[in-house]
Amino acid sequence: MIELSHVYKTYVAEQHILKNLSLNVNKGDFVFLMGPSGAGKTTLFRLVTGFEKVSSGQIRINGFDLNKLNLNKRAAFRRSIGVVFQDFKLLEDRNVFENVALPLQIMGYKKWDIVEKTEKMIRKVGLSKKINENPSYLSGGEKQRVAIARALVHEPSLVIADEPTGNLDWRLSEEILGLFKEANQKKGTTLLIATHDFEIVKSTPNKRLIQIEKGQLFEKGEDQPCGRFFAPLKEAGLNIL
Amino acid sequence: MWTIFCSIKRSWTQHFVTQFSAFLVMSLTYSAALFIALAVSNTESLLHWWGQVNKVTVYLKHGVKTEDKERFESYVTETKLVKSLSKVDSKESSRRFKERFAKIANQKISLDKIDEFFPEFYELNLNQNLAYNSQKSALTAFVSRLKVKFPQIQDISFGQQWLQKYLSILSSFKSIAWILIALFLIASLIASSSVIKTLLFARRDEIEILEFIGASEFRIYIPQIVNVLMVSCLSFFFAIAINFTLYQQMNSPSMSVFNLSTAGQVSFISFGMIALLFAISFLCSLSYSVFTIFNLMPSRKKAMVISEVFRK
Repeated sequence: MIELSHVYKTYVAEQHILKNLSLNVNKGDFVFLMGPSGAGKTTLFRLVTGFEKVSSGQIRINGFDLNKLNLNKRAAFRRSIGVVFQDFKLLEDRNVFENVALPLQIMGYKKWDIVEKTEKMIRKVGLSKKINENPSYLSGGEKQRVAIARALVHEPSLVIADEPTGNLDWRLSEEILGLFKEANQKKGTTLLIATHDFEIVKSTPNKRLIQIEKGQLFEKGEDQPCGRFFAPLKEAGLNIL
Repeated sequence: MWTIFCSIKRSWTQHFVTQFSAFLVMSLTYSAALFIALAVSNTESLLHWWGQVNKVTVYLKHGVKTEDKERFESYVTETKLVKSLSKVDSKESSRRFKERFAKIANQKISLDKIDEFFPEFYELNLNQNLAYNSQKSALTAFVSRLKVKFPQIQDISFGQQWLQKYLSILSSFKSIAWILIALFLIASLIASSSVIKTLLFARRDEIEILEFIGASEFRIYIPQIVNVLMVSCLSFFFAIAINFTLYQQMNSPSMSVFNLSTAGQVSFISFGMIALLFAISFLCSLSYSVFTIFNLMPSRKKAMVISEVFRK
């Protein structure tokens, strides 16, 4: 599903933001990407969503080689995934329905299918009463839910989310995570979620936890070392996993 | 189609001032171009109106036989190009000369000895269609035909000097007019290009989101091209309306300075000319907007999204 092979990303010469990253994510995996600010989470997020190119190395997602995407393939790749942005990226001049329906329109669904699927998804994220509101009239949490609904509405095989619960309280975070879990369990959707929130990681069974620190990846597993980010937590006796 | 319409509607709602400014600029440039076209199409008739060639004088050689004169008269009368003719003999010719010369010299003088000096001549009053319209070649051909058919003719005078000047002025005026029309059309292209750039810059966030979600470049940029074409067409029709109003004012006897309408010479731009200018402006707008957008596409700039293009 996701294959990263010796990926480097450099903006300024000799200063690697990401260093020699290799990672395999299989279909149906529920992967959390954690790490301190400035560790390279957002850069990695932008690389795997196809919004930036690697300096060297290779990324293959859903059969697309992200280094070799032409115009049409790039659009097709972006349609095959669902993305939740940290800053939501909602169209301010369109209401909740129109924002959520956008991927379906772009994919050429029929009007009635668009209405049915969109309304169903908006009900799921609990925004039925605000279906005709524009994003400027929504709270941060509501905007986040619209962004998540937009990422899930076309039932992509892979959803990549950057801090999807960053603007939500604990109760709403649980609800949103419930949507991701449902997609993962019922439809086998692969999820890659970058987050700071230990609570949602803790409450998710059967997940993979990957730490990114100083541009390098560490995976928490039986035979793999725990990164420095988790070490103080472990030393403090916090069993987060 | 509905998506394109919604996109254009949204663009007009959000960026009304930019769109309306573009419409005004393009309307003005098209109006100027059409006004020049109106002037060009009426130049010939206006110049004719100012320098009418409706009379041809045929000077005969001395001693032309009566039967030759009759043959000439019957030929000219039969031709449909001449409305009437009048014969002026040597005495009358001489009398006219004396009268004119006296006016010039401001005194009566005796020129009895030159009575036989002046040749006989005919004055031919031409028909309206040969005298006023643009058939300069028809007039010269008619004159040449007379000279060949009747060797007894000494000379024919029909305002050749005027005709030469007229042709020279007409040629220069037409060249300058077409250059001006081309310049105004180029100005409208620059306006349409600026509209596209301004709108894309203003909507860069929206376009970026559409790119993130996977909309194809075709889907994102086609509404921009359709929008420019729509503004271009509306501007063109508005410019025609302005020019038609102007033309009606010119033709109105109460408003006209020259009262040209009474001469029946001013006409509106022909349908063919309008169609030609419309086709040129439409094709130019289409090609230039495609060119502008093509050059702003992220894929062309090796950028991932539109905002990077504007940052570069």
